[in-house]
Amino acid sequence: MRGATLARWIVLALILAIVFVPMYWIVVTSFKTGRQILLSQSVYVPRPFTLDNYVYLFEESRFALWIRNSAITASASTLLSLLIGTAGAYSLTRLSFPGRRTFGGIVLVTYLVPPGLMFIPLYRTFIGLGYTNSLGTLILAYPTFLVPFVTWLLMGFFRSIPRELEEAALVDGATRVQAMVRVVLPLAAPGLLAAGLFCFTLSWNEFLYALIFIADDSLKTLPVGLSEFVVSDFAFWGQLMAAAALASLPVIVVYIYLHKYMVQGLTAGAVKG
Amino acid sequence: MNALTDRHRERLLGYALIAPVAIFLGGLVGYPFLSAIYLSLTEKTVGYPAHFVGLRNYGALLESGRFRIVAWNSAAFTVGSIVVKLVIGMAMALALHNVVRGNQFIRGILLLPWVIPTVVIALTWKWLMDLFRGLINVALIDVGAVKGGVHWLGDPTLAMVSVIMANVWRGFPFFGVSFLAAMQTVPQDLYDAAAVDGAGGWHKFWRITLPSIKGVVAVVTLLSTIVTLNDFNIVYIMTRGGPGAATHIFATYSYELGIMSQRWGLAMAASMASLPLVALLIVGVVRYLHREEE
Amino acid sequence: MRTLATRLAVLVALLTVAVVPALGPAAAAGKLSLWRLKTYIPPADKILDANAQDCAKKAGVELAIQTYTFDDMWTKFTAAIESKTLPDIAELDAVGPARLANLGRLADVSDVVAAATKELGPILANADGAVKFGGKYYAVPHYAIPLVLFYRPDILAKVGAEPPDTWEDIQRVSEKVKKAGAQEFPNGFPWNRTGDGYDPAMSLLWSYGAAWVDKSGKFTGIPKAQGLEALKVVTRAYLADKTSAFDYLSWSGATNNEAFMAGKITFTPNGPSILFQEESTQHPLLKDTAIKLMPRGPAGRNLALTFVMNWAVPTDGKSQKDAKALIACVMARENFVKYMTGSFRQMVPLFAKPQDDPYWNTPTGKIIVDTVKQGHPVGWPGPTTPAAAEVVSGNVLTDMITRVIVDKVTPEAAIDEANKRIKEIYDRLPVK
Repeated sequence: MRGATLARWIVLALILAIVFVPMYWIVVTSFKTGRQILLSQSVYVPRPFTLDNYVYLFEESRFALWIRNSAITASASTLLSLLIGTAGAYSLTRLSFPGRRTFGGIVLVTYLVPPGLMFIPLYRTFIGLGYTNSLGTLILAYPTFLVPFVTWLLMGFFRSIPRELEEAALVDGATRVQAMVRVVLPLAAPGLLAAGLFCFTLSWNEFLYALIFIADDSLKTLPVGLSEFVVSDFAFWGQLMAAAALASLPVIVVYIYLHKYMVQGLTAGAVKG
Repeated sequence: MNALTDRHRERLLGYALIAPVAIFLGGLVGYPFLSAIYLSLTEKTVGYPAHFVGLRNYGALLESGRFRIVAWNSAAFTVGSIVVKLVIGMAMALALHNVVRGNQFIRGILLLPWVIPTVVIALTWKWLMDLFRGLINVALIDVGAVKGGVHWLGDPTLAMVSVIMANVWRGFPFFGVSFLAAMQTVPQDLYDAAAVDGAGGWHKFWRITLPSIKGVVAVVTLLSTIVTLNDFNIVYIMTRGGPGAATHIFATYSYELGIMSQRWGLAMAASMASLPLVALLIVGVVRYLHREEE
Repeated sequence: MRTLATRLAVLVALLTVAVVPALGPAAAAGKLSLWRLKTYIPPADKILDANAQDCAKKAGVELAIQTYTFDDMWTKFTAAIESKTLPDIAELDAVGPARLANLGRLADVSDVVAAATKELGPILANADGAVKFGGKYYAVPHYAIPLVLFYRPDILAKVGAEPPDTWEDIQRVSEKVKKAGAQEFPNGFPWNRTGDGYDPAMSLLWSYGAAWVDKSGKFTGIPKAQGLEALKVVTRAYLADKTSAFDYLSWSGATNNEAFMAGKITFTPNGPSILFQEESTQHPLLKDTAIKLMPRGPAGRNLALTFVMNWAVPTDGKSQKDAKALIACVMARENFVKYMTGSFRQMVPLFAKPQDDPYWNTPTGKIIVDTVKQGHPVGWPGPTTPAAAEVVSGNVLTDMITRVIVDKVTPEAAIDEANKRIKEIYDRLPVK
């Protein structure tokens, strides 16, 4: 028994160390001067350390703007995907209509279409619609890979909610929609939260579409803005790592606060779906 | 009388609620996908109109030595990453299973790699592996483990290992957390009964835990395989597919063809190549899951 | 339930208020849009922007400046080409004018060039190949950043070697340095997918008489014998002598800068940026850093002029007259010299008068200007054509080299492969 506990803690310590090292490197680098980085001085702990990189982010670069753009795009895509996905998941699990099974299969299959394949034809589609170079383009594009996953996740969640509860509501005179909103959705709240966090994270991190669909400097999202710090001949690592630290902070805070629900929802979908 | 109208109403509602999904996915996934298939059958250089060339792009790719390397790399990258993620994820789940104090907190920390933007992860690993100034080489040299820097991103084989490492770092939490949650639904009396029969730890894992969570393992592996196979960010940012074509995968190759060589038809054909693999995987896993359900 | 519903409603309302303004298309009417390269010299960038805004104010137009990095330039331009949203003024690279002019998407700017010539003297003859097609100018050369050979005179002195003049010399001296134990991988020639890769690659082939086109720009293919000689000279550093590390093939154009400044290599081809970095950080190696012209081969010293930025007026824009006037103003003598002298000797003019400015009268300055004066455009000995552009942007030449080094393909097969690729490009993209 003791051997097993020892092994368990060794494994955990190892994994924690692996997770910790890159994050430590980000933080440490962000407080170094250009000279320290170039000459590989005080590698492990910057002495003296500087706040210049962080200052640069807000004074010289458009970091705040990128955050704003990412926040808007991620929030709107999440909301849109949740709406569409919830409706779809409910329909596919609770209502019966011809073609339901096939349709469910198709929705899940669309998840498999790779963004690496889609970026060109999707861009051409938007060009055809005359709607490019706007955050709205991304807000419409992101659900293409968010909706299938949300639908799948919520299908699993809805299935785990006993039908009797809805039947009871229906017997009491509620309509289908009312039953859905009043009975099912509240019970599926962890799943919705998990799906929402998932959507937000994926949208916040998305790079390829944002790189191609947006041309305007003022509309750049965070991942694309970060790549600006690599300027042909060199990468401004100090500023880049400072940006990396700040870019990760919002999502990290949200997750540490809400991860309990996220795990709940995610695994319910995986386990029961 | 009433029953018919009810069923009729249910059907209408069903269609109504599924309509947004249908329109959205149809218009922004279905249509572009068909358009991609068409594009892959044309020669389309940026700025010029497309003209039909049939299967010529596919022929050119199959003949091209580079494409074969790309396909092989994609397979290596995907299989390598998935296997390592599976092992580490399982280890993580087993380690956290039955830990009562600090369980949630540790799990929260271990989820961080999955949360941090992939662009950040790729850039950070690139910086970690810098030949002269990266933390890994500096530390290795300082403790005397190596004399000169290790060519993490310069040596063709090591470069593949490096991008796999970054991918694993990002992805293993998903495996770990899912497996852990699944393990926690396994009823304790199964383990107790086995203990009474004198079963050891390994036996418990192999005969009870693993079979019980088989479904989750299959689903998680499938999802991750699809995402990994289509990954773009990590390789693009860390090596751009280099050195040479040592880490070029479908996504980066397609991007290079489309943007650097400005040939969209060929780029689409290259992307299409990953689909048969994905389709096979899906069919395999879905069949497996259905069998398990019965 | 009701509170949840209200909360959701409030959230949605807030979101709508925040999102809707962002949904509109980006460009505002009545504004001139300018896209320029984001360089590694922020002070110089600032001067350029100030000049441009000054010119805009004088002309009574509003100017919106956007930047792109060298890495994402073609991503941005590809998207704009397809969606027909190129800016009013575009700073293009060495191959951009050829590509876009061939598509008919650039305005004739011969008048702007004439005005600039009045202010700055005649254009460097070599610069014409990238911007003059069919007798008309489709872009105005802005500046060039040449590739020079950086080396460590102190290390050479230590091992008793002379500064190299030919490609062969570099291999021999690198071997000497390695044998003397001074450095493990002194030969820092990176055959990667950046300018530090394809510029020397072209210069190498041309120095061995192995160009892939003739004077008119028609495809001839890389001649086998000369190509083999060229390949042999540079692949031995990786395969035989082991004087180059495989890391030098990785994608970043920064590795060779950093390696040189970390004291790990003796030779590397690079723009003058290393000097800039060393000077601005008071680097300890500054006194031991020297530059000379890139090496010559049996067919002579044929340098490449690949990092050139040119002003162009895409026809997507609706205010071409204003755009042209702005370029002319930015290239006026006072503005241009202010920019040039604020560039820490990185931006070399392509017009005669500023080239003779005393600003360049330093040991390094002279070499830098000399390189530009001797450089040939992409596609030499022919003009820059879209096909030549793609040979460069498709990395055909560096791929040829790395196929031998990394994939262990025979040099003959690599040349055949490269010729096949080049021929396919020339078949597809007409020489106009």
